[in-house]
Amino acid sequence: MDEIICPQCAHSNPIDAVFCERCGALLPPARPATEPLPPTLRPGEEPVKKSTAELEPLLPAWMRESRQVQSEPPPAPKEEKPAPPPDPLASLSASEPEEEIPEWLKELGILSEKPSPSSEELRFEWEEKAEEEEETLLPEGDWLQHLGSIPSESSAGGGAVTSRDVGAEPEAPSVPSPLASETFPEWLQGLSETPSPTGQEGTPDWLKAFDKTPATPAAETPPVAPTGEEGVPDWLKAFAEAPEAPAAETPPVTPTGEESVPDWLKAFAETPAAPAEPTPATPAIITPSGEEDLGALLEMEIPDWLSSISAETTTAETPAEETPALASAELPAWVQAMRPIEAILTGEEKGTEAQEEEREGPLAGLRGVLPAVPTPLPYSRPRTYSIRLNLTPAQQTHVQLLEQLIAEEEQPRPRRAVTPPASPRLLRWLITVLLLIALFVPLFFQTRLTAMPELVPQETWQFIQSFNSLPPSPKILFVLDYEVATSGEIEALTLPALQHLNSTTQANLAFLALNPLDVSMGRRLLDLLHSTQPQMPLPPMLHLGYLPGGISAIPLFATTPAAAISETMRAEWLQSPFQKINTLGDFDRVILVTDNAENARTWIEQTSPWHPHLLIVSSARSTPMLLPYFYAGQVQGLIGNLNAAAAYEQVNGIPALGRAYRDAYSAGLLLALLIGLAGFLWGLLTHRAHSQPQEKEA
Amino acid sequence: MRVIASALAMLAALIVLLGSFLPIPLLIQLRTILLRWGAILAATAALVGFYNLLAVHWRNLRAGGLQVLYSFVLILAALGTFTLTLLLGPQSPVVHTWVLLGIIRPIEASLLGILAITLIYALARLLRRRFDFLTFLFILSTFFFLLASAPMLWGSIPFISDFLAPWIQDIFVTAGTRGLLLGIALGALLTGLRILLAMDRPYGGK
Amino acid sequence: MTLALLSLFIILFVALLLPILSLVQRKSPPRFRLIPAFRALRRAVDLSIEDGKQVHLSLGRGNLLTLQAASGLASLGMWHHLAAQTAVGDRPPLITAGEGGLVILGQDTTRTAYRAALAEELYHPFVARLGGLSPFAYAASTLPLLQEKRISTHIFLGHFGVESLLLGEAAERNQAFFVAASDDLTAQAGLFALAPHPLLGEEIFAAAAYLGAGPSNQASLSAQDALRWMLILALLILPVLKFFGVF
Repeated sequence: MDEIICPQCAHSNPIDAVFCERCGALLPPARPATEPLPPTLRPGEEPVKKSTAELEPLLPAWMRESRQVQSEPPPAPKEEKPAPPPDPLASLSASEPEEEIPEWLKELGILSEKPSPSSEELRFEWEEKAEEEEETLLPEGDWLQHLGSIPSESSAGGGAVTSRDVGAEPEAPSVPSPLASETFPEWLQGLSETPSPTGQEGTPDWLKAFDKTPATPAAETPPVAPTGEEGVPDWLKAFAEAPEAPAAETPPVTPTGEESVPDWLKAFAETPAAPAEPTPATPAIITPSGEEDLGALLEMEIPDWLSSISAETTTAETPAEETPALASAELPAWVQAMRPIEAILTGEEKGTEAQEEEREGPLAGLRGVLPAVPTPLPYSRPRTYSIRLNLTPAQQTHVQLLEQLIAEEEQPRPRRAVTPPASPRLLRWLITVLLLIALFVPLFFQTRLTAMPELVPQETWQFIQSFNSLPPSPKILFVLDYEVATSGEIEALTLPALQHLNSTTQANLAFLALNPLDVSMGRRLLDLLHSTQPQMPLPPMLHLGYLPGGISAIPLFATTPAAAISETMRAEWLQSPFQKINTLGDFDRVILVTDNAENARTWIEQTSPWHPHLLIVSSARSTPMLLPYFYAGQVQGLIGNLNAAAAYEQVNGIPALGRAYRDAYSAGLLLALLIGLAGFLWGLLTHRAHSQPQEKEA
Repeated sequence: MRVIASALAMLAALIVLLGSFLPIPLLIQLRTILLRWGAILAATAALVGFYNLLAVHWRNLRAGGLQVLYSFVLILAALGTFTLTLLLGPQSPVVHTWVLLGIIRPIEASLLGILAITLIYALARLLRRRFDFLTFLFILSTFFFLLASAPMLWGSIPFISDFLAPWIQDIFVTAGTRGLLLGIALGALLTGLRILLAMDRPYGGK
Repeated sequence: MTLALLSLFIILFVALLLPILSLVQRKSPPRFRLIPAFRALRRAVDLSIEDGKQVHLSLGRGNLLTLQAASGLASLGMWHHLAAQTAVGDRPPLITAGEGGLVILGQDTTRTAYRAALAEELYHPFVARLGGLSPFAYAASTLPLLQEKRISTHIFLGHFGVESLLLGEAAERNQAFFVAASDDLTAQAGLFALAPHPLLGEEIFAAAAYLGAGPSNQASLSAQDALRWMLILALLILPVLKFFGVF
């Protein structure tokens, strides 16, 4: 495949084309035939990490800026502080970019405990639970079971792990699971690998605080180390001291592994140990035991995972008979957060027990969430209010006006009949035909209807006088700067001047072209002159060709003409009568033949320091802009339009193109005037016709 | 690279500017040299443009479509004229008669004729396009000068052609023209200075 | 000599004025009068990009070694701003010019703008192409482009003669949007009759500032206004002084 097919026009383009050669559409990126297709990711395969750093510059600036802002390190990451104990909550405000953790995810406090920056480990607990339940994997998936090297019941019995399995007796409390070290982050591995017999050295301070939490009997409670108080946040301290459950209500704890298992985890262990009963007793969310404890709890802003732990700690009070046989779902924190607030109030606990408990679905274990039977709602007849408004007459008027306005808006307006304009194409053809007739008839029949001008324009008269005052054998430079398209008009204007020169003096003519196409136009002018004066010999002439650099080389030519012209022309220059010309001012006359007012202005302004005797032959469209230079004395004479040329011919007594074109010129101008006038009147009428209905509507 | 390009542009512009105003021989000489280089560069740029033109139409030719014929004629005409002028010279009678007077001149004159039709058409429709005071003034002044400059059977229109039109031309038209030209000159001056100060860098560079 | 020194003084004054005004107007941008053509142009370019159509810029045929180059350079300044916008379009923009140097500058400006828009890989040298070297040859070579339905916006900013009227008329006949401005007064007169939004006088040099190219372009306009007022004062005072024989 060495071509790209355009998706828009189906044209085949070269392999390196970015846009279609035919339609210009953006082509899809090319893929050489030798290059295999990019491997697709199949189910079960791990995606390969790719560095996208090289694509960074392609991003828009605003995206890069935002990327830079996000990639800035956080001001003070809490994890890097060596002094405080490893606080799992510190990761809640850690350096993970905000954009990578959705808001709902942040609410899951436990999930925010990002032990490792690897995204593969950013898995939610409930996800892992779900997978474990489905696939009945090894218990190392539940990190809570390994916290503090607590072997789960499943590790002994090989059963599936659920939340109620957590409190099972450990077989080997100090030996961590080998899989755990691979799966778990380091800080968790550290917890599992260093079990202290007293549970104090290896237990972080925040966990030590939990040791005080359950009010277990003093004999069974390991001695609490006095350390750890500094590193525990205040809210945790309060949490640790808050539940003051009576020791008698605390169920007995299995002595095995007691030293290594924190007390708050023992509460987990006891829950599943209860015998199964037909009525599920332990909901997923367990209410605390006392109101005063609740008050302390609710005053604090406790993460959900901690609140659930504390709640379960208090389930030690729960009789073993209430432990559900049905495995209660391990609800994510966000579901737990949805529990009704009444459910955790102690006063209603008994009431909720009497209510129906959900057995299936995410609400399993909750009581009184959904009404089992529709209870009749208290009904009272709503009070009726009068809808009659007391409106003042002014308000009523306004309402009527508003209704009227709305009604008018909804009514379709009759569309104004617009007369379709005449086809532009037809109008153009009409103008073309009329113009052709007006121009060709006088030219074809050689009519001489219009009278010759009686007066010679002032600038043209000065031109003539300038030629009349020429010295014998003058050296005259013609600078040609006009487009081939306008050569018809320019030739008609220049011809009288050439006739004048040729008939009165033996001038030496030099032609210099500022436009590359004018190189041979000097010869054309002389051919025309010869056609009108065949009996007269042509004057000696020198064709200097194109001035290298064009209009930009004017100053150089004005300074040293011989140096400015091309090398091939310089030899002819040095052998001609012009060899004594040193500057532009040395020419007897300089005649600029142009249809470009800009170039003419440049010529006038840039050659003024050499004070040439400058005459201009200009097309009619440039003359208005050049006349001020004549009035200012910078130009000595000007032939500016066909009228002036005809007047010059009149003075010369030799009719030429000015006379021949005069009738056609007049007819063309008058026709343009008539068509314009008709259009003007039509525009006035149509505008009036359009504006009248608008005025009526207004 | 961009800095070097900017520095070169600024230096060249400064030399040409000072050489135009200060009668210092060294500056004038440097300015002349730079202008010569500029002329050569402009000619080279024209050649580059010529190559660009051929390349674009060669691509069109390969791509096919509606413009194949147009591109083919253009490439053929461009290469033919280039070769002919290169071999025979620009003032050769063959080039002058065949190419200039036989092809270029009629085509360009035809376009100029179409332009006349376009202008008349635009004038006829101008009031339907815009209906405001300036448009009125424009149309009326156009009518006036068309009438004043048109040769009549009896010569010219008395007073209008002889006196009123030249007077309006000399006073109002010239004043307006000069005002517009001064504004354009100021704009050109500022644009040039922006290049000189490297505020605008159309010459690119990395 | 006096005239030369005076001219040099004016140029140096403006050269100093430009950076100062740029700094001042960075803080408090000036308010300019509304020019409908530029507002319409901005909208048309946006619509073209939205429709997946092309934008065509014509730089004219001003020789870079003459005064006529100024309008072409002003057009390039405007284009530098617009090209970055067109870089996100489905089709590349198209630049034509009647002068070889302008073609090269058009390519460079487009490439610079694309680079700034981080889309340099979309740049192709054929984005700018030469028309004819004479006015009507340029018009003849550009007219087929104006028949293209895939181009919906035509911008003719630069040095044009009357041939720009042919281009404008063709664009209008093709029902494409076009804005045309030239420093040539003959062309301006014709375009006033032809263009829907005519640009007169030196408004061509205001294109970049009006299209939001930045404070330095606005400073240019302010400096231009300042110079214009100085010129008006000089035109009023100098004849009076001359009348009283002061000089």
